[in-house]
Amino acid sequence: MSSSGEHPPRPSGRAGVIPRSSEATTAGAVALVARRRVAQPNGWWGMALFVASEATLFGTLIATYFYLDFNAPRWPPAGIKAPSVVLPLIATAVLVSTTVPMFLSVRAARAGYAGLAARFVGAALLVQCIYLAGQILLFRHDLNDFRPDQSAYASIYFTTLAAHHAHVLLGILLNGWVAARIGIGGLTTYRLTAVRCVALYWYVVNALAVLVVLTQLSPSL
Amino acid sequence: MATLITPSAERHVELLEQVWAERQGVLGWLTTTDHKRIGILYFFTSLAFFAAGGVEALLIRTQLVGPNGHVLSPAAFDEMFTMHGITMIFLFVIPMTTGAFGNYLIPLMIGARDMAFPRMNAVSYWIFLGSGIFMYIGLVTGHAPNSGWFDYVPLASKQFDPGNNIDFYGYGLIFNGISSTAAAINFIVTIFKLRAPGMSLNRMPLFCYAFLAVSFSLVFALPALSMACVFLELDRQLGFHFYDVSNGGDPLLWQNLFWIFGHPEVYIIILPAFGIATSIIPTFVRRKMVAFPLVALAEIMVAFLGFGVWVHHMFAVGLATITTIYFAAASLIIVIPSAIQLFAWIATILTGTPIFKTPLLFIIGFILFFMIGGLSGVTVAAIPFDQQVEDSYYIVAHFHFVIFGAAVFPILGGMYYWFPKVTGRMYHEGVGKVSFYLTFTGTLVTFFPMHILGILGMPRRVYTYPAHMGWTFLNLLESIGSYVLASGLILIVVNLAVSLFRGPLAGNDPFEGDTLEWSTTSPPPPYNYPLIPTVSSPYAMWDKEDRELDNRRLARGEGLLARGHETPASTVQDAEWDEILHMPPHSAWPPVVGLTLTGMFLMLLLHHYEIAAGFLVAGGLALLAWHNKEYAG
Amino acid sequence: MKLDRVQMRSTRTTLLLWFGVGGGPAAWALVHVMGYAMGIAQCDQPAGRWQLPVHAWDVGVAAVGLVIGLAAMTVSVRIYFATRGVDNAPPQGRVHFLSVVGLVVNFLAIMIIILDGVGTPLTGLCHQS
Repeated sequence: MSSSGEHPPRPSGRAGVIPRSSEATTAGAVALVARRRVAQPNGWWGMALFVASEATLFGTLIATYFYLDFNAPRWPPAGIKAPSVVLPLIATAVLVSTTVPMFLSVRAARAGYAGLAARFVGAALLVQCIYLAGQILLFRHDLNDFRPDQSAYASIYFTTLAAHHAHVLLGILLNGWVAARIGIGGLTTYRLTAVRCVALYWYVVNALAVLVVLTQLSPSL
Repeated sequence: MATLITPSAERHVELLEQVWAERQGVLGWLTTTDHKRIGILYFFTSLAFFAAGGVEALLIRTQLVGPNGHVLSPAAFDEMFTMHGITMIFLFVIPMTTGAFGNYLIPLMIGARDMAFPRMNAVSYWIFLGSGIFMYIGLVTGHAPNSGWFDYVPLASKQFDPGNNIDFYGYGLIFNGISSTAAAINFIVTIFKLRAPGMSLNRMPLFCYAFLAVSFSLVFALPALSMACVFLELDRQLGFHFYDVSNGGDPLLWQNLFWIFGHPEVYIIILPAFGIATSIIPTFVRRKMVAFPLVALAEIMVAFLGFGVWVHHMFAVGLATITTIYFAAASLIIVIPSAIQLFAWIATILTGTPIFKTPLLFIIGFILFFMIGGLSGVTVAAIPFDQQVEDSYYIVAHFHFVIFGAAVFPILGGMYYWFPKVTGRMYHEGVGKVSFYLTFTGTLVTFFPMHILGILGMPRRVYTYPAHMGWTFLNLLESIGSYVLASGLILIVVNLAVSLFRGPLAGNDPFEGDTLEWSTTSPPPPYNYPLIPTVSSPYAMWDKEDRELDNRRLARGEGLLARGHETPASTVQDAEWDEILHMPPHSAWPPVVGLTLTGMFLMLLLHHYEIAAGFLVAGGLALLAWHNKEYAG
Repeated sequence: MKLDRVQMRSTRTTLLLWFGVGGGPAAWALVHVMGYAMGIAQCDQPAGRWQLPVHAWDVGVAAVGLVIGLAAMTVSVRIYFATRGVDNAPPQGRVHFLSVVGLVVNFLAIMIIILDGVGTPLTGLCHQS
């Protein structure tokens, strides 16, 4: 069933019927609404602003890291070895690679393929879970070497990493919810927007992951 | 002219009345997602906090009425000035301007039927209420925050403030920040996407520009405050070392992070007031605003430049001039967009036909106070002068003129101006004018002498002073002024409260206003407009042809959007009609999320971290249930 | 140059228009952040971890910022003259409005950049205010 709509009231640049987005509950109707819509949906704007706020949060963390670095006679302080480079970079590359299935899930959802979109999200979710598990192991390993209540370096190091991991965890929960919703319940305009929003969230978290790892590794680079 | 409900239009309107019928009673208010009801909830809550902050101020002024005062102990005085600042900034002025005025008016001014995210709007309110109660639990239990509203370390560190006073503030600000961030995102998306078709960016009321500027500022400034508070609590609770020098930290880190938020915050306080002033002036001088594009850009530019001046709060800290010079330059230039607005308002009044009713009187008072506060601000943008008056009453004078004189006066004027629209009744004009003169005189007498006291050397935040300093007479004058001011404010509340029940009926448009909210009934129906208005300029009510076209359209039943709670969404720049959205009628989940977050922060304060995590999980589950009901895409 | 309705909606015009609005402020933000950061890096560090060319950096960054600001101003001026006399209906009304915005905000941004670029080399390195 295609969604009903209204005609624009007077001559405008826009031809055709204005869709009633939330009445689109079949894959075909959702795809039609997605094609007809010109502006980004409200939910997308909401997520864009939310991730802008989160990016500012990380900007603050990174700025704090370098502020404390510039204040210190030695960075890291004596007794803490400079971070190893290889494993964190590989882990970050693995996380950033999940951008691809997230992007593909959006394309599939826009075209009306709910099952395919859910599978792409599921694939990303699997890799992200492996990434997070690995990062938690690395985090605990670091805690054995030095503790955040010992120095400002350790405080900002662990706080920045913990903030990043918390955002990855949130993203994993969002992915799980989205995959279940569209995999089981099918597509609606609302859920298409949800897929787009969660993908946007991941693009930004992945970009921030690169900045966080470069910050974390800056004494060794 | 207001929209006419002719007999042929009535049956269309009846359909809308049925579709948009609201739940009554307490449950209706608890589960509301209607921006007007949420605005009213914000209004009364922030008014209650205003009263609390006002009592704190009167206690401060009573303590300082004479030398060697004994009304408050030093510790109690510290709590009073801290709570006064926290209450007035976070629990009164911002919720009142954004939550009350913004929520109520923005959808009406842009021709929409609700905000972009009505349920998130509701949760913003419940989180604000929770955070306010959370912080006041500290006061009631004798553990109020006590190291000033900017809470500098090391005074606020565990070593020097070991009780949980500071924790009420640190956690409370993170808590409150969630509400403001959500509200800001809501305003931006609403203003971007929900404008009536035809309301392109150059046809948007100036009030909306002010709120866009405020909202972007909130989104980008609050993270700095949240991180500063996270660092503080990590230092205090878990022994981290962000701010302690002996382990590589830096107290100036707090100052930088706090003021990166704190300066945009003061523009967040004043920009909605600018928006209110630019709404009231055209109506009461019967003239469109002079230099509309310049006023619009000035509002945005002040907010943008405001992110680059924060170190001017730290000129006396001992930073290198080669770093502070950037901030001195920006602090001087930021005067220009403020001045553009000031000159535009004055030019509009002078070239219009002023009708000196109460709302306009408050705006004229605002203009005068903004000039005084702005001028003292320019003086402290000069580093050498700032270093002389830093932490003296000169600074107290400056910020009270800009915060009270320039932010609160438009709020008071706006309360009078929109009272008829919200309640359907007219306030008493004579009493209104008396309340203005009392408030104006009280403000001047309370705050102007503070400039002199500051130059005479009286430091701020001192709980008393000796008799031989020569400060006695001016302090007495200020305290008398504060009682006069309080009486003016009480008279405003009495005027409006009595008029609510006994004022004459106001009609749709008692002042012949220029913006769309005056086209609908007073108070507006739940659906705001029977049809989506036709818009050709920022002064939609003064475009007679458009309003007549709307009456004809309504009679024909065009543009009703009555298949549920519908509102149009349009493109961002040119407001071309893009889709029709369906809005939620009500929801129980917002207050549930508010409750779980309050529980979480209380448990964090009491160091019950596992229970706090439990509340977080409960909140997450509530959000899942929330998103189970799908509305607009 | 005159812009017709089709050109006004094109991606190129939109990008140019918003560069004209935001280029100057973005340039100022860049000058500001990079100048402050360099100052902190040199003046906050204890006991000579490094020696940075702060004055040269400040002037150089200000020069780059000035070029960007002037470019944005030029774009706004051209669009302003190309849309003079249009009515306020979108898109032409909106485009003209944004060109006016660009003229003023770029002017302000350029003024701050000049103050920064002229003031910093005249200031001693790492002397307290």
